[in-house]
Amino acid sequence: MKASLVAILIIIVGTLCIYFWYWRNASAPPARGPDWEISVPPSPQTALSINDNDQATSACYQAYARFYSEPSVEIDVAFGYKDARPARFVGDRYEKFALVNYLLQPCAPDHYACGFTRDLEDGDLFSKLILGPDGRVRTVKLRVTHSSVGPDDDENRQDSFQKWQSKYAQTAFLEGLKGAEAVFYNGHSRDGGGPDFGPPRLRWDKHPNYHWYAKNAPGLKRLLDAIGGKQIQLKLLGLYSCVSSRLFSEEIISTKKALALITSQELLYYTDALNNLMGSLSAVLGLWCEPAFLSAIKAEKSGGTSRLQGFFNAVSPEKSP
Amino acid sequence: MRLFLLWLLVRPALGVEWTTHALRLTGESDKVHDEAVAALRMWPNLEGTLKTALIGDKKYLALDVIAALSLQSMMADLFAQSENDENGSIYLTINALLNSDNQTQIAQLYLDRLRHHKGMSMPSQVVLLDTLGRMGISLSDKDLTPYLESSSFEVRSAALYYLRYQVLKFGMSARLPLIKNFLIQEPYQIRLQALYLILDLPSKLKTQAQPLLANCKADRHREVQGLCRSLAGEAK
Repeated sequence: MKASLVAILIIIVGTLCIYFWYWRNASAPPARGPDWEISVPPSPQTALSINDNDQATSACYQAYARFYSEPSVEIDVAFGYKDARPARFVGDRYEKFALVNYLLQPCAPDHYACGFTRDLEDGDLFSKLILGPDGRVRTVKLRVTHSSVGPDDDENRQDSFQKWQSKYAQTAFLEGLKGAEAVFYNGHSRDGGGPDFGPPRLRWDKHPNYHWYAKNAPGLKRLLDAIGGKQIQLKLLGLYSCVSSRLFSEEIISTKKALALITSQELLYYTDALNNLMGSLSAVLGLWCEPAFLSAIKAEKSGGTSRLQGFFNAVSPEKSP
Repeated sequence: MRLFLLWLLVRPALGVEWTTHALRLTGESDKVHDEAVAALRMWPNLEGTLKTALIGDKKYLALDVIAALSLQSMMADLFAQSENDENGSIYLTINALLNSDNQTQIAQLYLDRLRHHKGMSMPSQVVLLDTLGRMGISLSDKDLTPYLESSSFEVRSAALYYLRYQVLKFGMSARLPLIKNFLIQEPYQIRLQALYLILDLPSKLKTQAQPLLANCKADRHREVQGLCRSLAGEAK
């Protein structure tokens, strides 16, 4: 008797569930395009659209006046070593290539992370001309580096070129922290031990040795050393890696109060990391004001887990520690 | 058991989506990953859901699920979708499903696609070259030439990576001379990549490669010149 009642209950609940499931799917909006291109907010306000009379008091205008204070501006995108340990796959090379493929495409209307020209002798250096907030032309130099030489971590560890590539990617990142206006890191947090550009230190079971990374924090130490200098140009640092808000924000801000930060408050799915990075790049190149910038880096699909702090109210570099 | 069955039935109405489990396949502990796999295996009409997702904005999550659950039954859909793969992600999922039963079919598909590559995205070309390289599948010189001479730095780099497998892993030393052209190409990173390949050669092949170094000893890039001269046995 009791078993029959449970069976009837299950059938009723199941029928209701199936009904709700069909109802919900039938009323779902049509699917959007699946690619990594950031969706442009409708008519984003930009620093270029701010009246002369309002520029002195506009946080948006002032943010970009600081950012584009020089005729030539450098932005670095650094892909860390994105292994999938304990599996052997490594993905940053493919992600970087997909991004580069997009950067080199002509721009559709209202798109900005595109239309770049590649340097002939340096394959990781791209440039394009944009208008600064004052309406004058700026040259944007964009450096995009990756960390792995192939898609197989086991193979990479036997490849001499991997040692060079890791050192090169890390050096580009650290030099960018000193000399670029913005640096965007897309890679592993290594539980506080990142940013990381080389094959990971592994445990016996082929998982990354998170205990070691958390205890020694090699990547964070190097980062803090780099931004701790007085002559750095850096105004914006984006860390598109898991839980970067909790793992990195506090120490970075306490080292460099004037630095604006983009971080992730939660685990970050790889396409969301790319979307947020593309959103940041689009916002900075398009001079988008805060609402559009926030929309771009939230990357709606991730449910708005990113955070932007200090960009639209950063203290002037002179007051920086 | 009854409670679990009840949970399975009510979860769609409670707002738990397959994507919730899919997101737990990466970046989580083994336990969470395994629970997500188990939940997805029990998901009603999962394959139908994934087929729909493959052409929508949940595409990448769907690809992760297909790979994690090793859903061989989705192979036909992946083959069809891969024709317009913009970033190589579908090909990478096919690779995740590769086994001894389908290896020949997949290799043949990739060979055909590389032979008729017009319109194929740059990242897809890279994935296919990488995969055939690792599988030890040999492209004819005629089929390989467009990639060795591609206008895309990334594709040429992948072609060089393919040659690395051919020469170092599969003993095809006859292809060693193909490295020569990379040593005079731009950008400097590809010249360095070629030199590091020579550095990793066994000593017998390294000796054979000496004539290839003639032009890079005076390279305009300091690192390229230094490594070239070092490989040639000269002081930096």
